[in-house]
Amino acid sequence: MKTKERKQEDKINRDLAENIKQVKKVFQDCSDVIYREIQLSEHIQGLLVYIEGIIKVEDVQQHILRPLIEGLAQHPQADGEIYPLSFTRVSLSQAQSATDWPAVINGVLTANVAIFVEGMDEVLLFSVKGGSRRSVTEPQTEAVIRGPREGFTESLRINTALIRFKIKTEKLKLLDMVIGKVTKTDVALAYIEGLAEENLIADVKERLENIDIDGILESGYIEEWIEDNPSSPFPQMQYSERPDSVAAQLLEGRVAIFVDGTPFVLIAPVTLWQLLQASEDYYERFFISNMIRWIRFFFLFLALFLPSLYIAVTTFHQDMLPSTLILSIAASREAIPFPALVEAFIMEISFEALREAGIRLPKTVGQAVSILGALVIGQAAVQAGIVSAPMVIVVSLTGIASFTVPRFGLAVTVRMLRFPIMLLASAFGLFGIVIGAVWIVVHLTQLKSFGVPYMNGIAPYVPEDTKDIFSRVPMWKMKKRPSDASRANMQRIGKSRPLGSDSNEGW
Amino acid sequence: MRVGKLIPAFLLPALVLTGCWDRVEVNDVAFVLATSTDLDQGQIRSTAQIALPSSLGGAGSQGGGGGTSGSKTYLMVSQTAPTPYQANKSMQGNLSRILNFSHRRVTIFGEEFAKSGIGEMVDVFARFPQNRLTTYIVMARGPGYKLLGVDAPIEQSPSEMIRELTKSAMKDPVSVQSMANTLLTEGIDLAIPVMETKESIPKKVGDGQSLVKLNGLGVFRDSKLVGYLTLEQGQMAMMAMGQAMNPKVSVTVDEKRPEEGVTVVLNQTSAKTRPHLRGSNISFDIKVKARGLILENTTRQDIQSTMMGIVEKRCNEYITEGIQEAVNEAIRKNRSDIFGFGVALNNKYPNEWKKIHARWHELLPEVEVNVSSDIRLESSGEIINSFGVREDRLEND
Repeated sequence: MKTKERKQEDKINRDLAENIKQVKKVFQDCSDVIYREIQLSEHIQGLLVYIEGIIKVEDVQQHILRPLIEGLAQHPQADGEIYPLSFTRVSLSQAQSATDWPAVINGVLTANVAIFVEGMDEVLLFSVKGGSRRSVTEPQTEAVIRGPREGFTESLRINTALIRFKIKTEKLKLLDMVIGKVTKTDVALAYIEGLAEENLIADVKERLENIDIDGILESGYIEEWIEDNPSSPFPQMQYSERPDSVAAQLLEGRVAIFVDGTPFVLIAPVTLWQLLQASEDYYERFFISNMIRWIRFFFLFLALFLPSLYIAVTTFHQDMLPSTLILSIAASREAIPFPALVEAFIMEISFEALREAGIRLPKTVGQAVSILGALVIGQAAVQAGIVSAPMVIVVSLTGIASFTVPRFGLAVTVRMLRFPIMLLASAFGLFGIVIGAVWIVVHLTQLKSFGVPYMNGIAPYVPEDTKDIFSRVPMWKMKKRPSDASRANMQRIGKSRPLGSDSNEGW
Repeated sequence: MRVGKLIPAFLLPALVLTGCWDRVEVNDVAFVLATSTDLDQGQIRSTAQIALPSSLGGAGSQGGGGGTSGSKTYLMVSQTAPTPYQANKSMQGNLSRILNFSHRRVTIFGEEFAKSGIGEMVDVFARFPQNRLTTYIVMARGPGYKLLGVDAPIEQSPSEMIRELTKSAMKDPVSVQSMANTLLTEGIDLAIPVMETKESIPKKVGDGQSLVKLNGLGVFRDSKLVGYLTLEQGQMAMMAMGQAMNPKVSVTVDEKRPEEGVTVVLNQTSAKTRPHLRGSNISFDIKVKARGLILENTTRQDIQSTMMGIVEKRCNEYITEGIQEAVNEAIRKNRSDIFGFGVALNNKYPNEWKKIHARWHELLPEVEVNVSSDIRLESSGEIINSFGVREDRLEND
């Protein structure tokens, strides 16, 4: 709250009529503000002010209006005794009082009912948050085969509750903040005391407090504002709409930032490896998880380099392919009017456009677009001799590969980076690809997310952390938390399970 | 601000250097599938077989616009020059696409060229990086370009057919690399598979198409071709070298009925050469081991009761004689050490070898070679006795 000196006219007047005039002036032309005048006692009048839609009307009726009116009948003589009113009659849990206008207006705007009382320079504020919000549904962007089916919603308190359901400890702390001068968005910083580093919490808190913006409509606003290197194409925070993902990250000593109005929760700090882990990696048995993870790493490589490799090999290093393969590529490229680079660009860009169109269009039309696009890109372009068939294979494989990256933020980065690499490949061949790869690796080793190296575990090399980077060891072998976030409290497993068969033969 | 500097760093080279340097689109490359080297009126004639991708029938190429030679999937180019590379260079002069030799999988030496000595002329096969050391080498009976011109409709191009045949001829087909090794090693001479053209069917059957056929080995002394082994001798020589690929052997069991016989395929062949020195008398033992499987039996022999012993014995005799004959042909008639006797001698008696290595090719016909073979028949195939012969007519001796 601001601590500057308040002017006299900011104070609540003792005169109710004056207050009514003032409040109506403030909320002039706000059709959703409701004023309800009531008789508190025989001589004292009052006024209820609230905004319709964001409060729970039933609560107002049941717990404010009814007791006040009934109370009038029971205690007609309680003149001027206002505190019994707030504490004895109104049966609502969150109550406070305010003496100045900004606090009152803020209270009304954040789903409080304000009660003005004749002859009092205090306004009572009762929190009756409500209104319709989406209920908990399955997350749309991070579907799993095995795992919880609940996802975050747009309501901050539901979201924090979903985490509380999972982590039942008083050590789970939630620091509330209000960010956005106009939107006054509730933001909660969550961490587990003793697991998350003190420095990290202080750092995140400071960065959040430094945000000076009119509105926060999505956690993306915050992400862009507080990330370490804004000019890096790589995401330096993870976002998730899965409570189980967030809970797992909290347990590894990371912090989560909940933003009211969006189901996407930010997680920091992040490493590259974390962005390549899906929550399902930990729900399936480790054989399956490892295989899937290796496929993911392999396809990440393909998504980044496959078109460039194709360009480089067909325009510079024809010697590299088996004879029969280069001959069949040559045969299919025979009638193609464009150089391989132009061909690749046409296809990659139309693929990106197709995907974008598929997302934006209404679901019913989206289907038609994807069929049309597949037909145009796949079939017609090849038959017309505009694009060669191997290029279609390369582009579709690249497209599939980019979908195997579990975090959308990283997938977009990879898709974006492959264009400069394609240019390099067309100018310098494999040498150019190596230049591009070196540039990316150098950048990644320099990048930090909230002070944690982006490739932590590999660069700098931490042998303990490799248990969950390229492979995922069995759950009972992950005895320590990753070193990137929690340095203080590393132990995660007390006593490991005994090796060997658990079956008790001859029982 | 670092990004501001990086963007021109990326774009500038791409814009300025596009189209420079080594960038060649696939449609501007002429892939050489096979070459042949011949001696033509004192000059080297180099012939290249170039793939025509447009008539290979790739998707989108719609009937092949660029095909110049009808339905053929390849183009032949031939030039003469004093050296193989100069010939290749002048080939490029009448081609609109850049010749690329990296996919040449087989190269053919013509008979005349091989006789005149290949030693100096093969330099380019290893010096120019596009030329692969794994390229197979084949000899032609007659001019090499004849082999490249066959129909070979079973493969995409004759080069492929020649290559596949070469692979089936030996366990380790002669490649540029192994040729170089042999040429540079004292005490072993080159033996290169020989091929010639052949009609697929005789005239009386119908109009055939020309194919390629393996026909023995070309035997070199130093770097010059000196003679040939026939197909049969070549097979036996390769047995002795441990290079034979599943050789088939047909033997007669009964001298009185030479038209009846048993054919055996030999698997897991191995051969060992051991030199012996008694005084100044040099001799070699060749030991051949193999396991056999009966493929065909047109005799009335009761295999069941003799446990194939007779067939086994006949096979051993046959192999021993055959190898002896091949050895005679190679080392006595042609004075060529294709078996590497010299190397074997050098390994065991290096001092003796030092004394005689200069005269090795003169001494070679004098050395004694003892051949022994150990063939075990392991299986009679799906049936035991001939299933067209009644049991009471089976012979059992």
